[in-house]
Amino acid sequence: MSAPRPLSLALLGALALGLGLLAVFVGATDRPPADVVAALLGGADVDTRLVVVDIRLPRAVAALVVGGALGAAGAVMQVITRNPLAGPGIMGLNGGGALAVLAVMVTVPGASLGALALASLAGSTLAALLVTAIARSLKVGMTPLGLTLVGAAVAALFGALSGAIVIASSMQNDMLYWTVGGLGTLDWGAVALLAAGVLPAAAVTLWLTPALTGLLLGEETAIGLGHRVERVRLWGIAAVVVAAGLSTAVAGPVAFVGLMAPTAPARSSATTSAGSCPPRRAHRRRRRAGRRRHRPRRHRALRDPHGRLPRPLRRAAARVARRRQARGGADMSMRGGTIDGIAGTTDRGGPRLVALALAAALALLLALSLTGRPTSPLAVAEVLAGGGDPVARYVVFELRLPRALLAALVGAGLAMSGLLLQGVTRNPLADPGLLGISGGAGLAVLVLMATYPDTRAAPLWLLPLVAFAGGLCAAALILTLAGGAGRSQPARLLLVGIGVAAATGAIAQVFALGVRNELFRAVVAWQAGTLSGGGWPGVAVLAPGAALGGLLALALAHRLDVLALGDEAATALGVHCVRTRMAATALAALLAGACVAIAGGLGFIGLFAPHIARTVVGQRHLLLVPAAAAIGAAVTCGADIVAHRLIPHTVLPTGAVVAVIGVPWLVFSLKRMYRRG
Amino acid sequence: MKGAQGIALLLALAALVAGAVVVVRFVEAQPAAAREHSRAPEVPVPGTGPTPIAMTPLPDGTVRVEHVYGTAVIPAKPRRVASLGWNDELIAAGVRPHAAAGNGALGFEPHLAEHLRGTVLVDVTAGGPDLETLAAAKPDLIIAVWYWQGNQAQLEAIAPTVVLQPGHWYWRERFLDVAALVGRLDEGKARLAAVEARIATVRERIHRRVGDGTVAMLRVFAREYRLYGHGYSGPLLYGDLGLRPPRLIAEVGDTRDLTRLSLEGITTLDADHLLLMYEARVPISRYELDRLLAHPVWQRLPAVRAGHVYPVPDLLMRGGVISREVILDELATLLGGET
Repeated sequence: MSAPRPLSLALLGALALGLGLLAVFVGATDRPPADVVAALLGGADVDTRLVVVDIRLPRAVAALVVGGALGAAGAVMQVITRNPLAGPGIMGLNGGGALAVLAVMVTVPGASLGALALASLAGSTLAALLVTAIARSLKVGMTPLGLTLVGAAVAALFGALSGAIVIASSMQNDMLYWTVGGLGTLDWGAVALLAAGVLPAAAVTLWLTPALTGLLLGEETAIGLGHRVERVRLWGIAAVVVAAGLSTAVAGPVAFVGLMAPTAPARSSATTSAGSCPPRRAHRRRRRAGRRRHRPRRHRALRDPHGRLPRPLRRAAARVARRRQARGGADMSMRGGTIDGIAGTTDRGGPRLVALALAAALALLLALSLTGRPTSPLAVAEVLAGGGDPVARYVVFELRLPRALLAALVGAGLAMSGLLLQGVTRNPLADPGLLGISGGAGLAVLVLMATYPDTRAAPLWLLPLVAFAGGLCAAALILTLAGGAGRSQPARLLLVGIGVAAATGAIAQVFALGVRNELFRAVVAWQAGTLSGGGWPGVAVLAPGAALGGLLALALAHRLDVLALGDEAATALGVHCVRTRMAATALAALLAGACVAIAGGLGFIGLFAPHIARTVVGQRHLLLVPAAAAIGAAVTCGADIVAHRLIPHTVLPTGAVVAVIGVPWLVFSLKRMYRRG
Repeated sequence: MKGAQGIALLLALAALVAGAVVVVRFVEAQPAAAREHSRAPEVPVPGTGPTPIAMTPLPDGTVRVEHVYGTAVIPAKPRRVASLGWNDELIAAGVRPHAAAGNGALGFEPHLAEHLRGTVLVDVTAGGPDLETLAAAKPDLIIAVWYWQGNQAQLEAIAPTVVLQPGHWYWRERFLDVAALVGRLDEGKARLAAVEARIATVRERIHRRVGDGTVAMLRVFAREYRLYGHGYSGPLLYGDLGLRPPRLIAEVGDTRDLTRLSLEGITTLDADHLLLMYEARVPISRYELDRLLAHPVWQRLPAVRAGHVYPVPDLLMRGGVISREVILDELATLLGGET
């Protein structure tokens, strides 16, 4: 076998070493380069030697090791999952490590770096086990889409739990600086700890290289070449877990290195797969083999709408498309989405809708009696009827009612947004949070908060507008990257969305640090998803937006029904597909933006509310819109009750509670989707 | 096409990150004073900076107060005062608040706890003040700091609410504001005079010992070390006590709240005396402190070699009168050699 481009490999290595060396010459204090060189060689004065040898050098080495470890981990994961968007961060490994470290910090005072490293390892192992176990329990197994979605869901869960820990513990400020990645006080001890774990992991990776190469060529090929695929996966994941876990313990969750590093060298060769140090050989080999292998298929790929996806993904998408055709264009998990199905559900839809509305009203009443000191619903009803003492009236009308209404409005808005997105993308997993629209909206709001030139906070009415703009930009970006609103494939759209959501989240962290001290805690709570900040002004801002959005959604209902029959049928029936999609997506961004601006990072409601709505009232959007809204409102009110009641003296971020409910739901619906496939 | 899209995306991300960094830098570079007054009000706002609140007695026996966020009509002799951020000042003025801000899990500030027996604790750590408890306490006056601005309307629905800017360099003015609100201005002035006298003694004592030496206040956080200048401990150390700041602070001017230092930045800390603060309750802070104290860089600092490092409690960061009295005693012992 010929040498895999030794020149570019050497160049990359030299670049990494050069940058590492450069980091030794640059620091907080000015040191002449000549002195630095002298210090590295053992000369120079004591102070310079201290700075260079005891501060800058361990930092640079740790940065190289952490970056290299995460990059290699990402490469291995991208091969194993056959997914260019895989990476330790997005797959929840860093999140698991960070959660474990936070938990140990809170419970064990004075835990040493070794203990934290062990905790982090345990956390990322747990995350890996959880993700693979869930992915395996899905019938299709470890497909790229399934694994990425499960990983994203688990990462979201860990993130929500970490946020809850940070907020619930009284040591907020200190923790937060830790949760943003960065290399702080690093000495040689930390570097040694890091190296002790990462070097064996690197050795395992190198040893796995031939098998990984085989895997890149396809599972069948790998088996044919005599590799034990399962064992390779296991060892690969073990190496990844060690690299991600230790890096998280030493450096905090440094996201994105694992995602970017492998794809950056690959980009130049127009493929999107593995490629940092050890597995890059594999990638080169595959490229050579792949070029030959793919040539005869090229014109087929032109016909195949899934041609740009990795092969198993392509297969999954094709299967979905086939089934959709067979069922007359129904959505993957929508039950009986044929014209018959639409007609058949109308009779019972009305009464069921009324039942849902009653359920939402009941949840609202319960929220009025249980968010805060428990009050009996009867007492609340008495106050609502105009009785009660002044304090009780104040508590209900000034504190609980606006909060409960806010919960209901946010839940309804997010549910309708999710419904619209699911209709537009014909994808049961579309959700403003998962697709990154909430992320874009949140980023825009944070930018406004951080840059607002007044000592007071930005006016409340401005936030939804800015959030709408941000959400719209994110939606446009995602749809463009995924290949346009009309042509985008469900799987591709989701993968791009998860990437955009992760990117906006990371950038938002940077901006959160730029917020003035007085606002900082409020911003952190808002990021985790809270209903405390709004009050009546929040309701006043959100209510018109949600009402307008609901009406517009109802106006679009018929066109969305027709769109579900497939583009050709819809066009034949006189519906302008592209225009409908654009309108519905903009509407979804409007609804999600308004909710995010007031309540921050509440995810998953847009995912499961439409599903429940479908099982209750069927497929017609005219019924689905109010049904999803009612369910979203009821669920959010319920989550807010749990957030108040779970831990005494603490109101958890409502978003964390919703995530704890939402992640199992995502897994459940994935399972259902695959069972049908 | 795909490559171009990817590059465009990367460029956009890079631009966003760069923008974020610029914003953070910009916000940090703003002197605290400039940020506090970025709206540059032509008319001084009562209850901020050197401007006291304006109190006008009304014919019906109530008092109209002009404060940071408008006006409030309060009773001349409030009996059930709720304090959101002014516990220290109220106690110093001789009034035990009827309800006061605290930490739901940890209670009131340790140095005030004995003065607050029987006071209703209003938890302010769960994303805002616990308004249900506050409302149930039925206060007749609420004195708040301005970062509960989002709750202003809800507070006013409970009782007349006066909002004051935290003291910092103007802790005297704010203390007298609070004393005036509860009708104890004379007692407040007397207490202030006593504190001024104590400041003068301690100042002289420390100067005799420290002389022209520089004094720095360093706080250890999990990922960074903060050198305090203008803000927090600044008013007491460099204002009231007239100590000399280290070169690092003198260089950036007295206008900056704090300077964030990396481990390498610590090598430039040439102060003769070091006040060292860490959160004893926060494990990670304790851990970082141990690592810092063991680091060779730390051992080389002039103050460390001379044995002039003094751990101080975080009371030093507070603007109140009682915490000042406590911390003055502490500093008199640490820096002034008082026994």
